[in-house]
Amino acid sequence: MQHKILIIEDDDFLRSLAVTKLEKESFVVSMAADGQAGLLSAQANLPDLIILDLMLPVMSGFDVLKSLKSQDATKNIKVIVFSNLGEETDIKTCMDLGANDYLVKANFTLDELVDKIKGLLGSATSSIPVPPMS
Amino acid sequence: MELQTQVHALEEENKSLRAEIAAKSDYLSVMVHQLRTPLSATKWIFKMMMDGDLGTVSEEQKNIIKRGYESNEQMIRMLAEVSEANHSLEWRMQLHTEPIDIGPCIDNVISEFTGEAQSKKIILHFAHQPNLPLVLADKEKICIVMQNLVENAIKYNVPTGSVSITAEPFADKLVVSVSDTGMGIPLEEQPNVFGKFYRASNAKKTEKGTGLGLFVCKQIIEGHHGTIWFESSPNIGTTFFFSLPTTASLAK
Repeated sequence: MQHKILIIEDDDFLRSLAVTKLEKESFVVSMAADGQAGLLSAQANLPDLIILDLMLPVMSGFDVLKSLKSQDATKNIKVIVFSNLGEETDIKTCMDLGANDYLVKANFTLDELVDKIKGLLGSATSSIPVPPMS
Repeated sequence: MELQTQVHALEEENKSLRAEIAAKSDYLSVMVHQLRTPLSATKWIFKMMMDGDLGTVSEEQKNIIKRGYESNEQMIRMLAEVSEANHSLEWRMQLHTEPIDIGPCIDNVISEFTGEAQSKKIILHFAHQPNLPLVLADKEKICIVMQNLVENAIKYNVPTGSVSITAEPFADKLVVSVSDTGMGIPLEEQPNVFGKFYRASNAKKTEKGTGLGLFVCKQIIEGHHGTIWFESSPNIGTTFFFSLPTTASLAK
């Protein structure tokens, strides 16, 4: 059962590296380069998990997170905030808004990001459906 | 009239200086964030190369790339420390204090550093007395102080050495000490130890660091109306102390 991941990241290079890595791990990956496009993509595709940058053009990651959590269709999508902001206030704001995790990009390799994703979703690469984590 | 004018002028100056500090702090936060982006890219690229994701790499090439990765990691760590120091001045003014028992905080820091201590064969010990008086403190910030002191005690220590921590009431304060059997601080350099970016000459020779840890500790402890000081003998060891007012003493 393949999981769908949406990555919302405005830096083209970082985004392409992350997409390459995720696709190698057999995730179905969609992407957006600004907050508004990201929100629209989430509403249209209903991914299983969103990797969300915070400093985004058009609409900030904070506003995207707020919107996601305020709509029934998207409020249960898992969100990993993946940003190079790392102030306590930023982390607290995101966790209070309902993010599942907050990772500072510079502190994590892409392998470690994948481990975090798998931890939140259960194994993504098995073809046998995995029972939901209690 | 003259005095009133002076007071007013000082108040204005004070306001303008605070605004300048805030602006500089914001500027630094932005810089830290901006620098992290290219550092993240380099980190991921080096890691992918080491893992063979970008093509086969010889053992020799891998070793060199690993050096690049570690050099990059050091830059990332330095940014984190600069960011912490940047905020420590604000923290001093915005502590979220509550009555706490310092024992669990110290126990947590010990667990955190057990691995690192073991790898240098250093004994890490906290003589945890029961019923320590509560102190009015910002738990997270005091943990940062403990982390810095314990990290230094291990870092500048000798293999098979030891780090001993105590926490004891003394008059109306709680005094915590962190002792090591390490290289000590040269006498002539002792007055400078809490300075921003200061690193003692013997420390610089053996270990990497930014010289910000003790500066941050000082901001935090003094923000709590406590005191931080040390005693040190070169090649024998160093003990750092800090005191915090107990809640009982503040109630008086």
